[in-house]
Amino acid sequence: MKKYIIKAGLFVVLAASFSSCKKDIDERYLDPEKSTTKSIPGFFTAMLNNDRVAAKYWNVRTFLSVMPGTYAQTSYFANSNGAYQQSDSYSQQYWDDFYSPGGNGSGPMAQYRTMETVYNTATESEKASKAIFMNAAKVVLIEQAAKMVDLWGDIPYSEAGSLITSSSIVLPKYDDQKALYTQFIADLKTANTYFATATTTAEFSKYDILLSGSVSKWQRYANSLRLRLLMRISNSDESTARTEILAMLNAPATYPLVDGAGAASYSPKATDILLSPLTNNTSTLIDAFREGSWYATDFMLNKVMNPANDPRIPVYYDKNSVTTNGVTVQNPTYKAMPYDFTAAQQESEFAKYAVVDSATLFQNLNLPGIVITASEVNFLKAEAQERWGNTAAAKTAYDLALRQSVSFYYYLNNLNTSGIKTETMPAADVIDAFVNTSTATYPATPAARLASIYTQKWVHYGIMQSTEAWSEYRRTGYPQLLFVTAGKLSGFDVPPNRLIYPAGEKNYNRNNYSAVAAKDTRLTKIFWDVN
Amino acid sequence: MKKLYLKSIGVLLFSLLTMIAYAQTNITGTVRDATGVLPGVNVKIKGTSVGTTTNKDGNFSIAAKSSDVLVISMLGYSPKEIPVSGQTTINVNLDESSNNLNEVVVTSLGIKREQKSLGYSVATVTSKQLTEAGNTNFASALYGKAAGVKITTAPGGANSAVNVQIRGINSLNYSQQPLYVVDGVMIRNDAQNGAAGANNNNYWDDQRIRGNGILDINPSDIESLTVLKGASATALYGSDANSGVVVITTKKGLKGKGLGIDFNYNVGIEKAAFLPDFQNIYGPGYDRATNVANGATEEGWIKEATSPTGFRPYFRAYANFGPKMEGQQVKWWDGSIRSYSPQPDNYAKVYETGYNSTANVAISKQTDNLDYRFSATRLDYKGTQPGNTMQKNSFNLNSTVKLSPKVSADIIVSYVNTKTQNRPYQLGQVLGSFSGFFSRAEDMDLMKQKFQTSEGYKYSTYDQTARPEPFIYNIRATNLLDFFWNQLRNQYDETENRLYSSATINWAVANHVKFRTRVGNDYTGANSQNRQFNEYPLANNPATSSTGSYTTTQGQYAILYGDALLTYDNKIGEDFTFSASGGFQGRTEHYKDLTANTVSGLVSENFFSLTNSYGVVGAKETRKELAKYAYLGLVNFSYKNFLFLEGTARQEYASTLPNQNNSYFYPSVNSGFVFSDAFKMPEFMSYGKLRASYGIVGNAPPMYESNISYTQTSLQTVNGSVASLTSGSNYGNNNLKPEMKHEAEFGLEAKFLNNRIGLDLSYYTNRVKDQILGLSTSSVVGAKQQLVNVGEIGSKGLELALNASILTGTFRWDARANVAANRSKVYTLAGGVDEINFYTAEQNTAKIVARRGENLGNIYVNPRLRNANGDLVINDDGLYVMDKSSYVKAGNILPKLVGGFSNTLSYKSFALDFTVDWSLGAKMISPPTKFLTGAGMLTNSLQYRDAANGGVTYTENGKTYNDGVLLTGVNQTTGLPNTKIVTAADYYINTYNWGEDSWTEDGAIFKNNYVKMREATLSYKIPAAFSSKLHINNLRVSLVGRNLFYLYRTMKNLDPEAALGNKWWSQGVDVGSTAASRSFGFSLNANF
Repeated sequence: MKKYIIKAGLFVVLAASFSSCKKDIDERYLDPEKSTTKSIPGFFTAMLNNDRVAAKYWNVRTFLSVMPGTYAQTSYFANSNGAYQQSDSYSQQYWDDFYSPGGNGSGPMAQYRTMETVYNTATESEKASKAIFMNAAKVVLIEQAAKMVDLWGDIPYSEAGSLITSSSIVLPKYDDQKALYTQFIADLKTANTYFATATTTAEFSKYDILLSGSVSKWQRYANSLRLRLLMRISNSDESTARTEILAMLNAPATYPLVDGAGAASYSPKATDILLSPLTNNTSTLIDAFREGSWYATDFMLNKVMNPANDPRIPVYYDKNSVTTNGVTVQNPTYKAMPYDFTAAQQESEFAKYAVVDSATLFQNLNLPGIVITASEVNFLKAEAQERWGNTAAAKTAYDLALRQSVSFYYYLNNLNTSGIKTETMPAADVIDAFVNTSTATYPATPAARLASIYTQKWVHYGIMQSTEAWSEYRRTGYPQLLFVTAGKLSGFDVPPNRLIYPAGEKNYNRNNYSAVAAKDTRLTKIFWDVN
Repeated sequence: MKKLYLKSIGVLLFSLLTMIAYAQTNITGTVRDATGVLPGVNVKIKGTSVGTTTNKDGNFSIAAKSSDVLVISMLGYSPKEIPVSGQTTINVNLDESSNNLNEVVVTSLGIKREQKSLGYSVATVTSKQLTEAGNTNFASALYGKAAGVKITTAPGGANSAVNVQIRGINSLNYSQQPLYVVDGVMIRNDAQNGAAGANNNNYWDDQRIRGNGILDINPSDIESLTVLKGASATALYGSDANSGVVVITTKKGLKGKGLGIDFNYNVGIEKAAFLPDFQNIYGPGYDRATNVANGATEEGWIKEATSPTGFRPYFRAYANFGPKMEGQQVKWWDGSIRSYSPQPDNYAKVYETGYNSTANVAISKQTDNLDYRFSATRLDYKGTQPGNTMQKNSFNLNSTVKLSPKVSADIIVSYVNTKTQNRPYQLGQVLGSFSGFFSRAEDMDLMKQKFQTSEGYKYSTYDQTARPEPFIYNIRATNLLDFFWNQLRNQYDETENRLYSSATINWAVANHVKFRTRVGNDYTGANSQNRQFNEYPLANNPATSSTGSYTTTQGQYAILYGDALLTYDNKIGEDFTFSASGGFQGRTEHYKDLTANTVSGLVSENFFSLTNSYGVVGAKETRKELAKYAYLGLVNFSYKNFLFLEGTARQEYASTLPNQNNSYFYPSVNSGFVFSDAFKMPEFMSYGKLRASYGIVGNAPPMYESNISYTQTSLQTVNGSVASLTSGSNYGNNNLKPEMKHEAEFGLEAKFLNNRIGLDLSYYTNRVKDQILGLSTSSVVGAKQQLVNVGEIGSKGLELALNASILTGTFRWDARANVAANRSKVYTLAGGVDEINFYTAEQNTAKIVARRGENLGNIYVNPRLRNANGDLVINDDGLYVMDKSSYVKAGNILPKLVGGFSNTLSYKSFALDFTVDWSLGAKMISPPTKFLTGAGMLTNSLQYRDAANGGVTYTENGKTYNDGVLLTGVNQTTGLPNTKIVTAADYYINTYNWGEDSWTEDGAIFKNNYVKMREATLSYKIPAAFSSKLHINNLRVSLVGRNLFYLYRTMKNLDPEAALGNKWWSQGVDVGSTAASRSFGFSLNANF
């Protein structure tokens, strides 16, 4: 019997040796590779580090060049039968990247909601130190959200992000596009007020990888974005736009803008809202362009830039070269393939036509993500002055915008440190001639003036800001682009007026989608598109 | 104590007396089966413990009285009882049995039970069934051989994962694979891949077809395999047993004179099989309008002055509505002049002829204190995808050491070394994408030659004029050239070294008390080197990057397992026996993966080293750890050896669940009643048993799935290093509970006509509560997925297994058949969830869903739009309009009936074995097949192309054409009958295009019924007279064929088994996998 007791005891000891396991079990629950720290600055940095803003392969290749860039002809596309058909999976990804992290963007909506959740439960002193992050994040969120509205129209916004706020899936309704714009415009005014008196902190300066903690720049960013949005609604709600824009332009001290302070040869680095690439960035846009949108576009180069002898041509394009029997000869001039070239012509003639500039766009490791530039702001000012102020002021702003655009593109070109030949800024007389005595010169007739403002702004946006270019093209109808409609798939013979909602959204957010389903066609217009 | 002595002496004296009273004689004999002598057969005198076993020549010798009865038995054979009746030589022929009722079955925790006493259904598969057709892994050999067990082998051959599904769908999200237990130790299948599993089936993720851990278990080392199906059978394994358990016992040493040596060799060739039905009349081109708009002639020729005909084919077209291929001499994209002719085999020629060869040698010995068996196996494999090869060396040592009369130890060690080169790809991006479509005129030999330049660089397209040897025209199938580049030039080598072992100590502590403890491990060191060659000369490099890359990965996967079990058994009176056991089981799992890679290309050409990285070397590590342990107990009662009752209990703790939910309890109970022993049965009924059981098992998520945590990245910014934090696209859940499966099972086993016919019928019904699901949702809620307890599903099913000796005698025919029907249904879904989408295709025009109250796996599609009268609506272009706002049911992806039919026919030295298996009632979704139709590649797109094929005649711009399609329906705007005639090309290109405006229901959803001749073996046993001269006991040669042909199939353009992926729904989805392979060969088996 004693033996049994000993043996049973042995067994108990063996079993007991594992009884401390419950603690081990609990400790092994969390992934050692992940963090559970909830840091507002960390979330803010991640929100800024957005690959839908930065100059990234995926965004250019799958979104900018194949959707807005194609529909606005800021990027070249092959004349295939499905050229105007929206890619569902690529537009789904763009959509997802606004709402959720873990894709190719930063999920600004989710990141903002996370910051909000932490902020709302913080102590008063913590709140005081983190308010600057919240205000800056709001501006960033609005900038991206407004693009979503421009692309789709009504979008979930106010109720979006329930997983973060309540840890459960509550599908949000679609907010009305017009109401959203109104809200964005109001929120940006609040941001202006906040930044007018805010002081930066060391922590903010570190984590703000967009503007390195400059309160003044955040204020200008908020106001310039507000100007952009107000102008966007100016055809559908002119009175609001006019009142608010003039109020801003008439009080520049209260509403400082990203306008370069009137300097033509300004410093984009110091002035513009640009997202610098990470210092260890190794990827360029070479493949993004090579895989389909490498060539110059007809209207931009042949119809606008060449006739004006545009000084930006050498930093926009390379001439390309023809190889015959092993001998490579550079083309004598910059020219683009006609938009109505057949695919066969495109394939046999391409070498004779210009391509996207290698130093500026193609192989530029230092190419920043472009958010807002002085040139754009001055084009907007020119439009406001032309419509509601005086032509002289409009001309001043327009001329400045042209000159700043030249400076801007030479700046981008010269950021290239890879050893590719960069261009030196043309002599003043060349730029003067372009501004004063070319087809780009501010025209005499009012209608032509607005057309020039719109067209030159479209040139300035170029491929990297195709989304803005497409929105403004739809709002203004300029430039007057031509599209091939023959030989396209049934139902896709013209470019769309908006993107249709991605399939996943329609499917998973069915009930809320049903409220907007009637508007969900590719030819429905966004509310600001009234012409 | 004294009493005991007296008793023993009494027994001894009595025995001596009986020996004197009944004189014994020595009886000798040989035991054989249909193929030859059988070593290791037990020969016992009935009612005593006196016995022996046959030696390696099948001979035995035993002392017995004339009135004794000899019981001859062996696992896998029907036992025989032979009265001695004065004979001195008794030769016995044993018949094989797949389901012998007196067999001992290995159940949960390695406990051996008589099958008779079980209260639940198990399926046992013999070593012969697993190895006869020369399958390279045991799971592929299970096709059709066990009722309710559905096998899906990923196409791609011996290095591709095999999925096993037992009794329908038990989990919507996780662990749909059974638990594998080898010699008592849980082994790794593919837990290192986490929730994602080994293979995905989507277009974007890793496109290599991966393997899983069970491929490492050598079929020729398996002694027996038991499939534990129901919850009661598996309850002792708790949260790992939700999808059933496969218990494998490896071969042990055999008794015999000296060493026993077995040698087996299999060799076979593999060929791509079951390819789509292509048309061979029309070459590349679109409809007339598109051709003209794209710069070609109406017919689809492109002007080319340097081509003999003045035209060249439209190489860029993905569709095949171009000119008829009639041998015209034209200029090709590589600059050569070729004839424009159909290439009927170009698709088949993407693949190559592969082979498999397996050599296995095993030696075994049994002595008084030591039994051992050592086996070594070499597998060489070349897949049908170009570039893919594999070599596997397996070693297995299985030994039993008697440490003392009361203590023995089993020590089993397996070592597997696998090298895999250029693992096959899923071909969705190649053959299922317009960028990989090649025309019916394309010459595959040319493609295989031109994917690289003469100097070994990657091909250059027409617009890369500065690179070497650019093509002269724009071609379509660059994805195919990329595939060849990856498989034939690049080198992706994987090496895996795996050691799994188990050590068990059995200790007879005292009378009625036994103690067993076991320690096991499973360790894998996996590494890979991926060498991607420079794509063009360094001179062509852009300013900031190069091409080529080198990636190296190191993985360490370790499982440490331990259990201990103390058992007490005894009798209560004459009629009752009982046993009670209590124990502990625990394990930890560790997974580590470290990857380092060059960034932005290689600085020096084709020098594969991290030091040759153009940018800063990239590195990434993942670490995963899991711990589980449980206390368990079981009790067994039996009454008069015909009524059996068992109860089990398990209290488990698992680290993968949130702390407040990480412990739970699993009970089970089962009972068996052998009514044929309790009551007198009619003569024809030899055996009858009823079973009933109930049990609970669970399922916990994989490691870290439910964590709410943030990914930290250190960004190198203009402000220096800054930490950024993001929540991911999958959101965690700190309230997650484990899934719990409650299952009841009833069964009947019966044997008739002196055991010639046997049947085993089971009915089961289960509910799996708190289903864990990564619920996909719209990203607008802040993530694309959240892990939730989403609801309750359940399955009901019937399984029937039959075996019969149809003919006995010289010409013998044994047959085994099984059939299983299963329905899995969705009972409840969490509040607010009305439908779960597992898979959506073509902008949601088709989806696989779970809806409350419906069968799991239903397919819903957008139908064609109809007006109020039910007429089809036709748009102004003359094409169907899809109804994007409604869904109709279009079938279910899960088969209604699966089963198999295996036969062994033997005549003298010849034997023919074949297995047929079937799957009926399922549907499959295949978008790539729709694209092939839309691109005019298949014969199904010949309709309407000319008058003979039903094309409507019409006149356009003064020309008459015969390729019109006039769809029946009403015009969308006018409501009048459609009068718009479209060209056949327009019809196919638009109707079967990708996306939501195409007719997915017709183009991509197919009935998937099939009956397949899975494997067949024709073998011949060399006469002993000849083989004995070679000192060989048994020598058998066989012709072997696997995956032979379909007796019946509904899908003509897609292999019924094309599906790939680990999710339960992936069996119903084809995203363009790779061709299945058919194998023929021969095998040789010998023992010395």
